[in-house]
Amino acid sequence: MAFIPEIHAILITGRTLRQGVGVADGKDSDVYKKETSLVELSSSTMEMLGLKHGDSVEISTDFGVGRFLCRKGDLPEGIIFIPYGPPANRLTRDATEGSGMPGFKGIPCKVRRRKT
Amino acid sequence: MRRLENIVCSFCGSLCDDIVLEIEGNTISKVRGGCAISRSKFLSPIDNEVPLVDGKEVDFSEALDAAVEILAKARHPLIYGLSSAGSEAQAAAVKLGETLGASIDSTSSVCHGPGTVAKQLVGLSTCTLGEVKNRADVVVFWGCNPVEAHPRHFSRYSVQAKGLNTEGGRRDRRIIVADVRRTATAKAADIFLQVEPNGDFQVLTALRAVLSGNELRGDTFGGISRDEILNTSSVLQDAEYGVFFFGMGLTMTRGTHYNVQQALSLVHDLNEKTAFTVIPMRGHGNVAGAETVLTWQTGYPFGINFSRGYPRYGPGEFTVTDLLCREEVDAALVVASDPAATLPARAGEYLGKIPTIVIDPNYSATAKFARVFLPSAPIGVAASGTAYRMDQVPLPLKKVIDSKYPTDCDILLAIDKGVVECFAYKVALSMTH
Repeated sequence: MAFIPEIHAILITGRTLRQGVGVADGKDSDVYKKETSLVELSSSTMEMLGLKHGDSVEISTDFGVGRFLCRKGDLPEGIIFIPYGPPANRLTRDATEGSGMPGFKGIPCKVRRRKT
Repeated sequence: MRRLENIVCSFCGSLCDDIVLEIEGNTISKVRGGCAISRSKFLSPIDNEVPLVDGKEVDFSEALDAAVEILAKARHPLIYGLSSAGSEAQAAAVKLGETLGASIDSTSSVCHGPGTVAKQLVGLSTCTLGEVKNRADVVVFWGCNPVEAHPRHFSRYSVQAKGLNTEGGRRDRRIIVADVRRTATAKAADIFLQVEPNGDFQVLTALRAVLSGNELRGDTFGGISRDEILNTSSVLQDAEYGVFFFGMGLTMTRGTHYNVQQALSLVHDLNEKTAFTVIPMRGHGNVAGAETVLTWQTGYPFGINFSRGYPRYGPGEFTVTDLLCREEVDAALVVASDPAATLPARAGEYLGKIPTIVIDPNYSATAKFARVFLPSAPIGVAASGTAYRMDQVPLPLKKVIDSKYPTDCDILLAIDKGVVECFAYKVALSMTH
């Protein structure tokens, strides 16, 4: 089966319970580092890209690029989710458009399967 | 072994005040009643850090002198963070900001700041979490995920909690969740509105239109069908007492404060039909306190500048991301926060280019490149103080074990004293020439 090498998506960043536990444990804790370097993709997105749980993907936005390990999430097609943390912040929009609030949600991005 | 009851956990804005701690010597050995995050918070060892200047261990007083020198020399310093500090430290930070002519901002600007701007425009029909527990029969969670971010919110206040008029707990409530993702919170809902990314304003506008008796033209609104809008509108109006919780799904998406303005207006409109209130689902344990303290001290809740000797308010101008990305500050004092891990990369990286001072119980990502690191006693564990719950109820945080380090409040007051002395010396020196 031929897989699509890259898809366009919308990036949402946000809280997860494990990310919260990681913040309380310390930013150098394994739980924090692991949780913040994961991306959640929908089943159909994973199928399209020929990915399985734990595979590596490259995600790029107009603001930066990062590598993440994927896990399946209950998401609509075309939406990806990354827990708050330094890896996600390489992709978020730093312009606040006069509001003080950077763009942490609803950011257009590309998801590319990395060669293993 | 000591057993302490009714301890407040200050990690998130729920400020659960029913935690039981068992203490052996100067160590917390057991946490009962808390969530997974609370257990991690209380069981994490304290006093593991040392004062640092340029990455080298120094005496605490030497690190304090270095911090004073940096701030006294700065032309436009930034004071940032504060949302995991006690309200006493927040007041001390405002005092220091005024002494320095600094900009001062809390993490509010990158969480609920736009909601606060909307609050200033529309007003807030609000209530306490006690009222939610005792009265609310319709509960809306819009763009927030308490199951993961406020793990005991459901059981203590909003969903399973049993109260005077809600004796059946979950059975007596209708739960509405609006979110882009089908989150763990959404899975507990009676009605789930799966909103398109950046579609919240449209959905809220459609709900307001129906409430005011207008006919909807179109089939979907921000990803929600006409039938879902009509059904949701009817459930909202049928509430005996409704509560609308909102999170960063509204404040961080396109439209920011306009989204929240529309949500607060919806609640305002609902009060024409029934009783409805709204509570921002605040994240950090005392971010509500940061806004409260800054407001009573300066008149403004965040994004404040003292360079003219009086406070000026400027979201988008004096807020942390803007000041750092535009490289407008020449020194930074970070209190109980970790901007290098939480702000967009460009903003965090600029902190490494200017002299940065970090006051924090933990060695954070920001501390790694800070010029000065001052460890402090963790609030609510080894330091007492006050924190404001998400519904603006102030709660006392207890000191349950001892730390060898001072509180962040004492450190801020000591820095302020040092800076005042430096400035007085500069004035005296200028008068002798």
